[in-house]
Amino acid sequence: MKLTRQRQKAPSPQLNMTPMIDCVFQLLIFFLCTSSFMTENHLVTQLPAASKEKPAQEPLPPVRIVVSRVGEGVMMTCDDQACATFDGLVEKLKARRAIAPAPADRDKDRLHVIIEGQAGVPFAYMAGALDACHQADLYSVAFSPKGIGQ
Amino acid sequence: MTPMIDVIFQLLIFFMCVSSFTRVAVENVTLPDAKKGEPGEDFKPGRIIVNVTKEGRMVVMGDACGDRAALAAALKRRTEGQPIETISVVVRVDRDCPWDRAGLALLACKDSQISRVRVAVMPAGGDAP
Repeated sequence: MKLTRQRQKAPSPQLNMTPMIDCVFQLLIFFLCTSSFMTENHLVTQLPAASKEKPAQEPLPPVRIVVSRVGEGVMMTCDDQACATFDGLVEKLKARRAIAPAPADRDKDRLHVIIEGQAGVPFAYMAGALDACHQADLYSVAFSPKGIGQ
Repeated sequence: MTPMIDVIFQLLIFFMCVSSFTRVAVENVTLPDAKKGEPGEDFKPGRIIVNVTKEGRMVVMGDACGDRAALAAALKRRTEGQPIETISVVVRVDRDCPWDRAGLALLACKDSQISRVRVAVMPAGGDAP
């Protein structure tokens, strides 16, 4: 007589995935919330300092942009001509740029811009004026210390 | 259920602590828009970030500075021993910050002989990269 041992089949081990998935979802949501998707750009400015070299050519009279407060609003002028919008400012700056074309080396530019802001003008307008200069291919821009508190 | 919730809370707290350490240099400000900004490189280790909030509070890498002299001193301290031409400062100013406060940050950079300054902006529509 043949004895057959009836072996009891061991139950196959099962992995409970649910808590891990929960955990992973939590992490996913956390990182989605904390990571920032906005990338910021930079307007590169060169503040007046450090350079002791003399410019090769005499600089041209600088363009003067004044941003001042009028009541609740803000008024911009470019060489004493009022500009209602930044696009208008860009046009005026481009006209000045056309007279003195930009050199290949930005550091050797003879045409400079001075932006003067009045106290209380929101920074967005100053950055806008700087952006307008860059749009008109003017990169030698300085901010006037007038209007800045001490 | 309980051990899992425990673990998740632990992880949550851990990451909250870590993330607040890594983002200490950047304050929450609404940057102005600009069409022609150059792409800002990722925040390099050596780069100094000056934040000016809407109320005009100046913060350098997590340290609040009350006035122009304090900010200039803080910049000097952080740039000590480095060649001045290699230092670049990113100025992040809130779009609504009044110019009389915002300009102080730029003047302080000038006071500490830093001339390479980048103004942080948000890319606006148009030809922004």
